[in-house]
Amino acid sequence: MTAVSAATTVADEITVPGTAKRIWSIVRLQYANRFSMLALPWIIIGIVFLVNMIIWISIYASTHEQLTGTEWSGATAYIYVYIGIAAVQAMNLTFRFALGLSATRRDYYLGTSLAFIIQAALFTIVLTVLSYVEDLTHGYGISAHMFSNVYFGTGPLWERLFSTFGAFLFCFFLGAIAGSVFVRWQANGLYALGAIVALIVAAAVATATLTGSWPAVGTWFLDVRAVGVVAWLLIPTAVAAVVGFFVLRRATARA
Amino acid sequence: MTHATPVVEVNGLTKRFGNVVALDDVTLSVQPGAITGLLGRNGAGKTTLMQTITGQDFATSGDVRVFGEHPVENARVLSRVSFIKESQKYPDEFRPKHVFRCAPWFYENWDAEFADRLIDDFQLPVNRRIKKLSRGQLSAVGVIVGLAARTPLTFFDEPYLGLDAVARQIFYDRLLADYAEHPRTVILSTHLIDEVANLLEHVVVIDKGRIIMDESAETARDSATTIVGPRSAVEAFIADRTVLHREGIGGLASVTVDRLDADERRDAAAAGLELAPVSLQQLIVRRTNSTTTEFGADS
Repeated sequence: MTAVSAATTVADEITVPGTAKRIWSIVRLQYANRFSMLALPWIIIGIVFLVNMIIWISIYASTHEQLTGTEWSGATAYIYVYIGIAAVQAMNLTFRFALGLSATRRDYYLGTSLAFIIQAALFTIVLTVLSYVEDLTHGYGISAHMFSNVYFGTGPLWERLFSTFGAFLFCFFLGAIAGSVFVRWQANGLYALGAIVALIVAAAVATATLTGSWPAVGTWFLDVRAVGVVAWLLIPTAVAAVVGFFVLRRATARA
Repeated sequence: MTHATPVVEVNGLTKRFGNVVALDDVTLSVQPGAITGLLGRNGAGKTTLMQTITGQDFATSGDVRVFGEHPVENARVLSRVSFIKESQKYPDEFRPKHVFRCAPWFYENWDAEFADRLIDDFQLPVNRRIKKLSRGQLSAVGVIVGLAARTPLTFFDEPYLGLDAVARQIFYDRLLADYAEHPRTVILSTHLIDEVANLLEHVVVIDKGRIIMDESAETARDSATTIVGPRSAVEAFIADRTVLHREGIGGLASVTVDRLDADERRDAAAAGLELAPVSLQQLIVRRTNSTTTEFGADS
């Protein structure tokens, strides 16, 4: 067939990368700028830690007593919020960039999820190690706790790993569904999503109030502790992950 | 010459945004190995057409095939396509070097050496944050990706915004030289028609969401002629022809009409009329009933 022109030949020369390679390309894309993905969150955590340390030391210096109550520290909450916001931003900007590089939405979503799961795993390990550092040094000798807080940094190893990692996944996929809804329907979509979430929460609150079961709710939280709450949060996490995928599948890169 | 399989086949494609019909029953096929100009006024539907062909947007109805397959979410198709658009967004903290680091992961044919040469040609600061780049430098990022990606099917959607005349000429020169060495299918959307007229082998004109011209550049240029002469002689000659444009000063008239065959040209000459060629830009302006200022004015 002599009629086949050069372009067809060029087209045939191209080998289409396999699914795994395409998804990995998206993971690499997310890490193309390692600073914001890996360094920035720890720089900020480091500053938060320093501020905490200054406060601990000044309290200790004036009272000369071991600190009490710092195990309820919420100082590491920042890093979970960071992941959620990073997910929203990723879905907005790297989505349009990846589509511009001819990636499919499917590969983009799977690759981005994998990139953040890897990040969550790395952060979980570091946070857990730091919680043991605080345990072993008895809170730097003054019973100070930031990483060994009661939510994510106490109990046996598996509990620390599980509750930290699970919380990361929850924050990421919540951010991912918000980001997906935004690129698909813009601000109106986010208002609708917010309204749906608010309705669900309001319904739960109303149920608890009407049935007079707030004491039971309180007891339940104390019973299951952070690890149990995170376990239950895996259900909305999974729902968000699946819904986010299908929302993004039909999103466009329009400006 | 028998026809090769078209790279792009669009059949009865309609795209609506609410009540707005952006593409109205578009049927089009693009042959491989040519530079096609996709021309039309702003808002004519050029970008929507390319976004739909590249699977970035979804058709309301109709059929799109690229390399014989549906492009939407199809990695087999998309890995052979690059689409460089004026409105491309980049991650916030990216610098051009990050873009050029990522691109080879997505384009099998990526030529890093060529990309480096283009970076020099356009004097692009690769370490500056993308947000801080000038409009022209931002366009250069897209142009470099589109050229160095060397995909079998490349779309450039108004890629030169903010580029000065010298930089635009560099783009045209590099495109033509690289295209000669590595033949591929290029679709170039632009409203700077005269600048690219010599590059184009095929011309597709879209107006209000409809394809109003789809022919080789040569046929397009021959498809109209301007007749100049005394008003009465001109009027007599054009009596029952489709007039595309008409202007006159005093007793002289200048009228653009559809293609004339050899006999008609002889008749015109015999009647003492002068025949002048019509530039691609003029032709498209005439056909889309727009004013000249809308094309090429904002370069």
